[in-house]
Amino acid sequence: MSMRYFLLITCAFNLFSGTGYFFFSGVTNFGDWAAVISGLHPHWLWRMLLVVGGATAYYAAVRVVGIGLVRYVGVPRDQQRRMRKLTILPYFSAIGLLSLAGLLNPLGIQLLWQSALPATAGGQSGLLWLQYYIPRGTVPNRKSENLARSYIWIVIAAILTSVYVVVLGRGITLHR
Amino acid sequence: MPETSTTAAVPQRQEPTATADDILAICAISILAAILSNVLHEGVGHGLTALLTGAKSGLLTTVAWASAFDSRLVEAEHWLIWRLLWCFGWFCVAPRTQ
Repeated sequence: MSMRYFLLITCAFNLFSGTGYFFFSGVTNFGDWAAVISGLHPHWLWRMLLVVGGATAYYAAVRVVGIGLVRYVGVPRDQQRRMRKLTILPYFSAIGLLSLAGLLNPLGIQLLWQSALPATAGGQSGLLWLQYYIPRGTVPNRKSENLARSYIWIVIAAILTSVYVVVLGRGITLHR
Repeated sequence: MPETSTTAAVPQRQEPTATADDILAICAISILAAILSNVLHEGVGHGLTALLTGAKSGLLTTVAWASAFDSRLVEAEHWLIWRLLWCFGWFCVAPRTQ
């Protein structure tokens, strides 16, 4: 179950930030997609497209991840407490990790408040409410298992977190 | 008036294992997923795209990719990653029906 859960959470992080960024840039006129549409006319139409397209895609992503959690990971839809645990913990883990690593970044703390934290806290917020949008009738395709303690996952996470925070957090210069 | 409806949905099953999922394992897996997602976003999406499309160098951090070279393609990396992962996500969900 742990690998299936890892793949699903990775998918959720990527889908939510990918689709949520459309909406975020459309509303705030800031961030990656604001840079993409800068200079395009009529600007208000492009922003509106980002907002509407982003919201629609985000909602679809929430449904896909929710269905995946039930069908693919095998968490029955009626196990609400369990579902909350499996979605809220990743949300706060990601925020904690990115905040910690962002504190060391050499580009300035402002970037953390303006971009990285909103992208994570807002972008991943679908994890907090996706359990309410899983279609009725969605059932697991596999037997429900518990996520057991695995020291392999824990040790790998501890090592990579250290590298991520200390090395990538401070920045690496890449050359072609 | 008390709810006495007999048409209320019956739970599919009891909730026998809600607290048995290990918190440390969930956090470890989540952290690895967050690291992978962030490296895909900043490193592959922005950084690698920039280096492949004209940038000579750049600074990769966890919050941003910074380079003198800039283009719409580099900024729009989400689109590429988003689509790839959408397909991946769908692949996980749809074909696994019994």
